[in-house]
Amino acid sequence: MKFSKRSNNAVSSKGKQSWHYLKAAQSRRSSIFTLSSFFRRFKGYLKYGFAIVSIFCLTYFFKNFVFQVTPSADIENVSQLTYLKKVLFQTDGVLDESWLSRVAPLNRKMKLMEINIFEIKARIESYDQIIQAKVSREFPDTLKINLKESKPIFKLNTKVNETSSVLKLVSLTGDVYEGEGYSIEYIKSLPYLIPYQHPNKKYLPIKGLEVVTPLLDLIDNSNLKDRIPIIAVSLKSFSADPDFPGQIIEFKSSKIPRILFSAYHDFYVQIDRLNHILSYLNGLGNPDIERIDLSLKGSAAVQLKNGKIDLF
Amino acid sequence: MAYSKVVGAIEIGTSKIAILVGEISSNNTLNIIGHYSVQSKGVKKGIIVDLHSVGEIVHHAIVQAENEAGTKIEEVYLAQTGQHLSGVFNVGTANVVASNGVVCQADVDKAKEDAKRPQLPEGRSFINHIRNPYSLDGVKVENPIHMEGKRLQVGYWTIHGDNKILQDSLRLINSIPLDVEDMIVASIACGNVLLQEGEKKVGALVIDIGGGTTDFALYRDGFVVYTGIIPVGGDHISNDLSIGLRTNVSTADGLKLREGLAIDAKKDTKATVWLIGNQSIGDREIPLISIHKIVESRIKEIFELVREELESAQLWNTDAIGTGVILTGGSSRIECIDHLATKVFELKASIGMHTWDISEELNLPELSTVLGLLSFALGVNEEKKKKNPKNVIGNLLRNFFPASSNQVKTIS
Repeated sequence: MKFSKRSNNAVSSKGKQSWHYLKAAQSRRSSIFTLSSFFRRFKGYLKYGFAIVSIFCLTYFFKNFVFQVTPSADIENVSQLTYLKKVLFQTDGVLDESWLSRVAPLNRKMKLMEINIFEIKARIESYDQIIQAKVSREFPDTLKINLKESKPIFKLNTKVNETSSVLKLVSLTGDVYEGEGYSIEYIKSLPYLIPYQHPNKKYLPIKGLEVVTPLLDLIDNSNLKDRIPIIAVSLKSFSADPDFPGQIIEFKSSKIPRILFSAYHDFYVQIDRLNHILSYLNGLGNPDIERIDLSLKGSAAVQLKNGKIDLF
Repeated sequence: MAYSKVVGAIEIGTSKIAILVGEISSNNTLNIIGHYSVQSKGVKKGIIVDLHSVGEIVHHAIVQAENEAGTKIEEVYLAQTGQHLSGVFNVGTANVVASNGVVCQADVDKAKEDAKRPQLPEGRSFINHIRNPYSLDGVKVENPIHMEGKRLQVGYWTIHGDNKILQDSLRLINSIPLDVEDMIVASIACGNVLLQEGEKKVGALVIDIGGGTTDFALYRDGFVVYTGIIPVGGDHISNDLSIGLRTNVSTADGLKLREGLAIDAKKDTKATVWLIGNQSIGDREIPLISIHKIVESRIKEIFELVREELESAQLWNTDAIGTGVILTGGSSRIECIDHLATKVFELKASIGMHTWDISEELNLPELSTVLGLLSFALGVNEEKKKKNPKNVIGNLLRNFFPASSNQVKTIS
C-alpha cells in the first residue's frame, strides 16, 4: 500500500534549550531498576553465557564419551604434572621396602611418567631370589611393585676356594641363590643339600628336586620328623635320570647317619618300612645305627654301628 | 546487504501504554513487526506521578513488544502529552542582504535563527519547533530562495515542556536501556498519520481524546499553527458515569463505549439498559437516556474547552478549517461523537482514518499516536538519508523511481 509523502515540519529542537540537553535523565545513577530492564540488559550476555556452557558441555561429552578409547593423551598430561607420592610394594616372600630402596631407589622428586618401570623390573629380576617382578603405574601418583620370590628348601655350601665357602640357598626348582631377608633360625632349619656331581665335575644344574620334595614332605608330615631330624640330603647317587639304575636319595640325620631311599620306588612303602624298623629297634633299646637302606627291592637293610646287618 | 533500522513508538498515556515496533528498510519502507498495549498505572492527566510503577509496566511492555517483533528496538520515538506542555508562536525576521534583493540561503537561516531566539524560563526545554510559511514583504511563499524581496519573515510554533516531567519520561526509556531519538507532541503525531497534505493545506482540527487528556492541533495552510492540551479525557466521562450510576469505573467505561450515545439523537426516552451491579446494589435497570446525557454533557464540555482555547488564541475561523474536525483517540469510538463535534464546532467532523494497509487489530483510534510516531520516524529517516547520501547510486535510483519511497509494505 502506497504511503504518500508527509511533511515533517514538526522537527525536534536542537538548540541550546532543547530536551536533548536534559543530561540528568541520561545518568546511570538515576536509572529505574525493573526486572524487565534487568533481563533485557543481560539477555545479550545470556546468549554468550549459553554458548560458553554449551561448548563446555560438548567438550565434556566428547572427552568422556566419544574419545574415551584413546586416553593416552590424558595420561601424558596428568603424569607430566604429577610427582610420585606412593610405592605399593607386595611380595609373597621375605623381601621388604628397605631391600627395594637399595635395588631401585625411588623418591618423591620423580615424576610418575619419567620413571622407567622396565629398568626397575630388570634390576629387581636380576636378583636370583626373584622369580618374577611386576612394576606398574597407578595414576595419578602411585607406583605398584609385585614380587614373586623363590622359596628355599635346602641350603648349599659352595666352595669359593680351598679354605672358604659361601652358604647359598636352593629353591624348589633347583635354582641356587644367595638368599636375602631370611632369619638365621629359618636358614638353620633348612637341611643341607649335597648335590649330584655331573660328569663335568659341576653340580649345576641341580635336577630331580621335584622327586625329592615329596619325600621330604612325607617325612616332615609324619612322626619321623622328631625321631630322625634331617640335617642333610645327599643326591650324590641321584642323577634324576629314571633310565639310570640305582638312583638313591640319601638322608642324613643326627641320629642315623645314612638313610637310603630308592628314588623311583614307592615312598609310602619305604616310609612304612622305616617306621617299622625304628619301632623294632626301639624295642631293642635303640642301638646305634650306621645305615638304613630302604632302596632294596622287597626288603630293607639295617647296619648297626657294631657292624651287624639285619634285613627287614 | 539491505540496511534496516528497528524503531519503537511509545505512548505513555493515562489509561494505556502503547508500543509499536517498526522496521524501516533501506528503501524507506516500513513494516510494523511488533505491538503491545497494556493498561497504564501511575500516570495522571498525562503526567507520570509514580515513576516506578510506570517503569515496571513500560519496561515489561517494551520487552513484550520486542519479543513479538523478534528483535531489539534500536531507537525510540516518544509521544508527549500533559498540561506541562505549552506553545508559543515566534516570528523571525531577516532583511535581504543581497543588493539585487534576491533571497539566498543565508537570509532564510537568519530568519529561522531569529524565530528560535527567544529564551525559555528556567526549568523548561524546547520539544518541537514547527515551521510555518515564509512571508516575503508580507506575501506568503513556500520557498523564498531566489525570489526578490526586502524583508523575509518566518513563523515557528514552538512547544516546550517542564524539564522534570520530560526527564521522568526520558529516564524511563533510558533505564531499559534505550535511546530516545525524538519526542513528538501526541496531537502532531496523530495529525501526521490521519491527515493528507491536501487536508492540512485547507485546514484541519485534529482532536485526540485520550484517557486523561485531550490533545488537539490546528492546521492551516499545511502547517501546525496551534497545539493544546485539555486536562479532561475519556476517564472523566467514565468517572462521571460511575458516580451518576453508582457503579465501578470499569463497568462505567464499558457502558460508555457500548451505550454512550454522545448526542441525544435517539429520542426513545423509555429505552433502558441492565446494569450488572455488585452485592450491595444488585442488578438494576437504568434508563438509557441518563447515560446519554452524562456522556454528551462531558464530551460537549471537552469540545467547548477546545473551541474556547482556539478562540482565545484568536485562531478560530471556520472558513480556514476546510477539512473540518478529525477525531481520534480511544474515546472517539463513542457512537455519534462526530455529530456532537459538528454541533459544537459548527464544522464537518469525522473519525480519523488513515490510509495505511494494516491489520484490524492495529487499525484502532487509540493507536493513532503511535502510528503517527512511526510515520514521523519514517520521515526523519528519509531526511537523514538525504543529508548523508552515502549510497549515491541508490539515492539516484530513488529519485528516478519516487514511488518506491515511503511505503508501508506489510503490516502485521
